[in-house]
Amino acid sequence: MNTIEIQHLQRHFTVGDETVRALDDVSFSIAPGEFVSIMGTSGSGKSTLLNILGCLDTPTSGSYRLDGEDVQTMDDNQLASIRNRKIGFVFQSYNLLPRTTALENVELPLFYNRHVSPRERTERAKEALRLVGLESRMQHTSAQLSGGQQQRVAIARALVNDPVLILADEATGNLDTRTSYEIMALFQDLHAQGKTIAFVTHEPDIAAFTTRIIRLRDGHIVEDVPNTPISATQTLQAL
Amino acid sequence: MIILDTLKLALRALLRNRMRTFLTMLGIIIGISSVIIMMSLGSSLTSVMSDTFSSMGTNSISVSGKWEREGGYWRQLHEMDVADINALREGCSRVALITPVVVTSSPLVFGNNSHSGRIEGGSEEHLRINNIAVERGTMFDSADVMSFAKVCVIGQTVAEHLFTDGEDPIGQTVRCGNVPVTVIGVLQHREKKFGYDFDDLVVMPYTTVMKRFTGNDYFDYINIICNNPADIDYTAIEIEQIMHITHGLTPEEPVDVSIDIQSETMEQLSNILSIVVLVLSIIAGISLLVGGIGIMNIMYVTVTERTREIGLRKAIGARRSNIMLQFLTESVVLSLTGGLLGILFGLGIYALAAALIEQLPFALNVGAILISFAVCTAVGLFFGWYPARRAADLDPIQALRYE
Ligand SMILES: Nc1ncnc2c1ncn2[C@@H]1O[C@H](COP(=O)(O)OP(=O)(O)O)[C@@H](O)[C@H]1O
Ligand SMILES: [Mg+2]
Repeated sequence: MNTIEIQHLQRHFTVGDETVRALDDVSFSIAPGEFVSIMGTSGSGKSTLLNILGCLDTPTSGSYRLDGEDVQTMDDNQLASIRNRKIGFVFQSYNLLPRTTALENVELPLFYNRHVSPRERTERAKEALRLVGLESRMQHTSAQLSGGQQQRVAIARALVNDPVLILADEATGNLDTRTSYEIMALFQDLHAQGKTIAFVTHEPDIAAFTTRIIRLRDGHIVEDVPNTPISATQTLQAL
Repeated sequence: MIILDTLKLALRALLRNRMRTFLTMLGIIIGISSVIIMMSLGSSLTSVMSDTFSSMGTNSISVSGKWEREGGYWRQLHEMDVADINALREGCSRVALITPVVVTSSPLVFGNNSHSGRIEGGSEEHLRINNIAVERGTMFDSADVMSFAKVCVIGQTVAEHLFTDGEDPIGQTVRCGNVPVTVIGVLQHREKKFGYDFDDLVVMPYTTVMKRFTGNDYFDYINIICNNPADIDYTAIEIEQIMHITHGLTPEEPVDVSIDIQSETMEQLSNILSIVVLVLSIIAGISLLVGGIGIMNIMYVTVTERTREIGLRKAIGARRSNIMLQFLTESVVLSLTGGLLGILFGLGIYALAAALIEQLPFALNVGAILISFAVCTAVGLFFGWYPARRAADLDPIQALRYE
């Protein structure tokens, strides 16, 4: 079973009398364990696609199956529950809560899961922070962390609910080259541990770290090719 | 998300902007402290008033000649006399006691001390009717009344003014005007109410007062006591009919006496009091409304400031209801905290007033406190509702993009 199956996906926006076809007949699948980059110039529809994959937005038409479930028939509460259990988001601007510790930020998704006790919540959050190499920074607030560290906290937050799919939108967009590569090395680690990742970027050197590249232009897929990833760790050493 | 977590979250958000939180609560604090002061004041005044009236005798009707203005002067249409007493004794069917009262004043002298006292002339039942007890000595009896005895029972203020050398007042002879009168009893102390000194009083047989002091053959009023309060209204009607006939009035003519029921007077006064409380409550209501609008305003500000946070929470799985609950909790905690401060502040002010004003008793009005908490919860829910709904309705994609 594929993690993602989308068929003939359309997403139209009406702005005044004009209809913007942000996505126009997009179909593809992502198998478990893939590390896919979604590329394209600004305005090509990357974020729109990612928002639909992340169940934040619903398509105008077409079908979307996530982990075997038909998403387009779900109501708001069911979608919230799917996001909570199956999706991990990483944003360009981290979106950590201000004046809140790293640990509390990572715990946040588990607050909305009734089956997780407060104790388990803290245990899992600590474990996720360990996974991204921040065990020594758990009590630091966002203001006390560098950009790269903040993004690591955000990645830990995306991992803490053990999602079937990690979605990243320009996750390295606010970081310098070295830090970007460090983050990509972390994503490659996660991929090696079997995580399924869809990574939106417009930078070819970032896409080079992934195993498959989907290229969008004006809401269409213009290219969908496998890629032999280069190692981010080695690239870092060469810097 | 568990209630406790939501509560923690709300407290933390409120503590983050302490000054702003406090200023927002100010309206609620003022409103609730007014509620507390008003309700406490209302209930203690009511109890003070009913005390006063029960000490004035409740099951009683007083009948006196009506006053009418005539050519710039007030004239009494009728003066109550022995004929009236006899007619009432004969005609009233559900009455326990009928007794005349004459009121005058006269200088009182003992040795070098003097005091100007209020003199009430009544029957031997006068003290019982008015719920006054004798502390020392005795009250005069019916024989004294029949024999125009020159005896009196005095209140403690009178005793203090006349007997300054520690003499026992009982048995002493006091000059009342130029009449020597023997003190046979001292009345029990009664609390001052509204500044009125109930202890400044001399009670004598009405026969003595009429013969020696007023020189009139009429009374100021006639007191009529019913044993059963339920008979009061019936008796009042009877009295009116009897007076009509006795005074030879035609059915068309209005009766020439005033018939005052004490309990009715009390009812009127407590009506006035409830109007006062109502007006004050409206003032409290207005400050609560203003406070509520303040909460609503600050909650809109909070929601706008935290748009990205709301977007993030939705993206990671918060439902509409989770967001709604989060912000409603915040507004309710805000108004309840304000309410708590208002209760403390109001009680503080009331306790201070009670300490300064002798006649005002301090009583913790539990009802007022419960009502305050209920009102605060309602204000928090009502005024937090729309801001919380705006937060819950935010589109996560737009919210995450918000700068
Ligand atoms: N909410 C919206 N309303 C109207 N147009 C939108 C909206 N979101 C995206 N678009 C349009 O859809 C197209 C794709 O946008 P987006 O997916 O954000 O592109 P990318 O992320 O690749 O830069 C753009 O033309 C954009 O203007
Ligand atoms: Mg984009």
